[in-house]
Order: sequence, then C-alpha cells, then structure tokens
Amino acid sequence: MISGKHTRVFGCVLATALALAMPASGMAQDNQADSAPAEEEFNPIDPVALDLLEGSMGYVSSLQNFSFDWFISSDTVVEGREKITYVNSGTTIMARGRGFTSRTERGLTLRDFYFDGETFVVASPDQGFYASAAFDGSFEELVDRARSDTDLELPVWTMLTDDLPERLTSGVTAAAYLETTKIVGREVHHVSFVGDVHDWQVWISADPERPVPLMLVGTRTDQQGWPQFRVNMMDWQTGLDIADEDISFTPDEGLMRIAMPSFSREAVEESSSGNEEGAGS
Amino acid sequence: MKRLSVLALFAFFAAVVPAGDLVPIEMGDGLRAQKVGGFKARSRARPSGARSRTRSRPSTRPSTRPSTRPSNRPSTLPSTRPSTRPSVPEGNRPSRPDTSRPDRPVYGPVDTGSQGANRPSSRPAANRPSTGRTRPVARPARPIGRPITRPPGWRPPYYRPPLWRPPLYRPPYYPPPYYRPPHYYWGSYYWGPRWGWYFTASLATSTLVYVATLPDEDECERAELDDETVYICDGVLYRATYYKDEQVYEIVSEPDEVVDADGTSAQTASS
Repeated sequence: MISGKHTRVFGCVLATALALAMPASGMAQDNQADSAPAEEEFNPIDPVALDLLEGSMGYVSSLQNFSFDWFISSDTVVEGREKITYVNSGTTIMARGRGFTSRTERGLTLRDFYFDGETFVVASPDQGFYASAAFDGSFEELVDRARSDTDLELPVWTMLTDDLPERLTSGVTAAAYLETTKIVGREVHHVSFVGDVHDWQVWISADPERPVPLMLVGTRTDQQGWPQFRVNMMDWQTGLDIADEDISFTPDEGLMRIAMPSFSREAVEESSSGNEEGAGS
Repeated sequence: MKRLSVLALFAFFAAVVPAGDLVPIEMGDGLRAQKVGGFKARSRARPSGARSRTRSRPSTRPSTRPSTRPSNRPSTLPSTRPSTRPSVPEGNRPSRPDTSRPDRPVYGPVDTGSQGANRPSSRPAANRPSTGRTRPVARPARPIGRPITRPPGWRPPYYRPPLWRPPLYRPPYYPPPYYRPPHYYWGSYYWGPRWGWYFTASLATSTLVYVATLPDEDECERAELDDETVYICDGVLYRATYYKDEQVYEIVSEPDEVVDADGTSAQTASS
C-alpha cells in the first residue's frame, strides 16, 4: 500500500523525468528534420550502373545479325526447401526482323527452335518428332504465344527482344556498380540491380566497342527458397550473313509430325478461314 | 499508542498460543494461495483426525495367513505345559511346519523374548540367494492347480492369425476419386475409368487432357489425321502433341466415346 507521502515522491520523480525527456524528444525531432534533406539526396540507383546496363542492352538490341553460345543453370525449389538445379545449353542465331534459330541441349535430348517469320517449328532430332505452327507475328508476340499455348519458355528470349533496355531497366528500385573483374581473361563490369520481385546481376564487357553481356544471375525474391538462374553468354559474333535456310526448318525423312496444341488449332482455323475468303474472292 | 497496543497483543498471542494451534494459520495461507493465483498449492498442514496418523507402509504380507499355518506364532521359548494335562500323542498332532529352519522368512516382528534378537545382526546366516534388497521380496502368486502344458504351435480352436482373410475375400469397395501424388513436372493427376491417370493443361483457349505415355503402344494403332499422328488404343483416340517442351499425347475422344480401329467411325459407349 502506497502512502500519501510515497505518492507525492513518486509524482515528483515522474514530473522530473518528463521534464527531462521532453527536450530530448524535441531534439530528436530536430535531428530528423535536419537529416531529411540528406535522405532525399541519396539515390538508391547508381547512375553509373544504370548507364552501363542501358549502354550494353542498347548495343545488343541494335545488332541485326548475330549469334552467341549460352549455358543456363536454373534452380527449382522442391517441396519448399530442396533446391534442384537444371542445366541446358545451346546456340542462338538471330536475324532481327526475319527470324531466329536456337539449337539447345536439355538433358539427353535435343531441341531445335526455328522461326522464319511465317512458321514456328519445334524439332527433336534425337527423339524423332517435330511440331510446327503457322505464325506471322513479331518475335515478342511469338514468345507470349508459345508461353500461353504450350507452356514453353524460349531460351534466352530476353536477349533477343527489340525493347531489351526497357525490359531490364523497368522496375529497378536500386542499382549499384560493384567492381571491375575478369571472366575468362576478359575485363568486365559487375553491376547489380534490385527489383520488386527479382534481383539480378550483370557482368558487362569492359570493351567500349562491344559492351556485350557475358554473364547474368537472377534471383526470384517472391518465391520460396529464392531460386536463381544463371546465364553465361559466350562467343558473341556480330555482322553475320544469315541465309533464309539458316532460320527455316526442313524435316528429314523419318521425323514424325506431332500437333502443336491450341497454337495450331487457331492457326489452322485462321488459315482455313483465310483460304475460304480467298477462294470466295 | 496504537502501535504499543498492537505489539502487546502480538506478544500475548506469542506467549499464550501453543505452536500446535498455529497450524490452522498455515492452512489459511494455503487457501489464500489457491484463491489468489489460481494455483492449487497443497497445504503443508496435516489434516486432523485419523488421517493425521502416520501412514503405515504397504505390507507385502497377505492379509490372511494360509490355513496350514498355525495361528499362534511359534515361540522360541520352550513351552511349559501344566503337569496335570495329559500329553497328546504325536501322531494326532497336525503337521506343523518347522519354524526353526533358518531359511524360512520371518514376516513381522517376532517376539523372541529378548529385544533385538531378530535384528539382522543377530539372525543366523540364511542360505537364500542374495537379491540385493534388504526388504523381503513378495512372492509371485502361484497358479492354482497343475500347470497347463501345450504342445509347440498349439492354438485354440478357430484361431486366426493377424490379417487373416477367408479364401474368397475381396477388399472393401473404395469409391473414387482415387489419388495419385502430383508429378513434379506435369502437376496433379486425375483418374478416369477409360482414360486411366491423366493430367490437364489450362492453356489460353481451352483445357486439354494429356497423358505422358500411351497405355500400351503395342496394342495401339497408329494413323495419320491431317498430317498429324494419332493413336487408337482400346477405343480411345490419342493425338501426339507438344506441351512443356515434351512430347505428350492428348486425349481427343470423349470419356464415353469409343473410336473404331479404323478411326473413321465412332459411337458412344452409353448408346
């Protein structure tokens, strides 16, 4: 039981404490007000890193006929904890505005992708089948269509898009230039970027004439286990003379043709309706 | 002045009230502890009455002695019979156990006439096996009657081993849907009576039904339909197609549709 005398003493102590604390809190507010302009001046996006990325991606998107080899390792998180890494590799030949060819190795099987501006073909020379569908859209539309209709992700498709700089720089919340290092004897710039759902790092060649990306590591921060994918790009060749035969597909004898799901149905319907219209006219 | 009176009253109680009467005060503390915290503290005060007696240890001794044992404990002192009493012949006496054997356990205090005569130090050395225990061990109950001897492997009539089933046993009916763990690549599985296990793909325009392999390729008939390869397996039409960078087989026919072997005509199973 607290007596009246104790209550008075406690009240005096409390008042003294409040009197001492109020100027301190006021000083803290003043400090915050003083530090606010300093935080506004801090830019989480390093302009040097952003310039390097935009310069490299702009260079790649400006190439007309080029090819490069690549090696990809991508993670899959199984049952929320175990991370499994799958690898595939291949060679991509791009004739911008005309089509492309990718010859890939995935596991023990081969997959070849052809697009000549009119027909999209997936062929497996070792398993003896191919599937083809008529398509006359752009490369970006083909990527979306293949994803929606066959659940297929074309390999290294991002590097082949026309709007590559915008795709990579959009959604960047932070960027930093980390260091200059070497990859297989070539001097490269190491820059990192942070996005809303994924982070990525790029190693860009320090050659100002050919600032091609040599390695890219992405991290999905919105998925359990933060799976990563790593893309190594090698043997960049530019200024190639690519013939139509290089990006079109002619099936060998013995290859079995299989259907391309709804992809081909609509194409068939569209082509059949176009034929009827043509026949009618 | 008031403090002096309180101190005097406390001194009076301390001097007058004996220590034994303070026990209810402890009980009161225990009850207070129960009410305050909800914790049911066990009172340290011993309850009054018969329960306040010291608890006797559980006895391993049977409550009733065997009938063959004489009710009177044998006395180690020589009995002095009255001289006027006739002697009883030895043959009519009941066979009394020999209590003088040293290996017989002695339960309870035995009046030996001299204090401390039954203490372990004064007992004769017993030939019992050493159990490592100082207290006498309770004997296990002996079975009544002769022990039942069975031949090895004997079982009572109508004995059935665990999980025994009669010869014409059928497992209980388990209604569908059946369950199969999802595939790491294809996803969830579903089951149909004519299709078996299949998985689906929700694509942009429709949901398609796939199987990764044909039921039995040896029994399937291959055909060409619009330059595409199809298979007819047990009346079900499959079309080889491409999905998730793999070759799979799309189930084209309806669940109740039966496709002829030539692939030209079809009829429903229900009709």
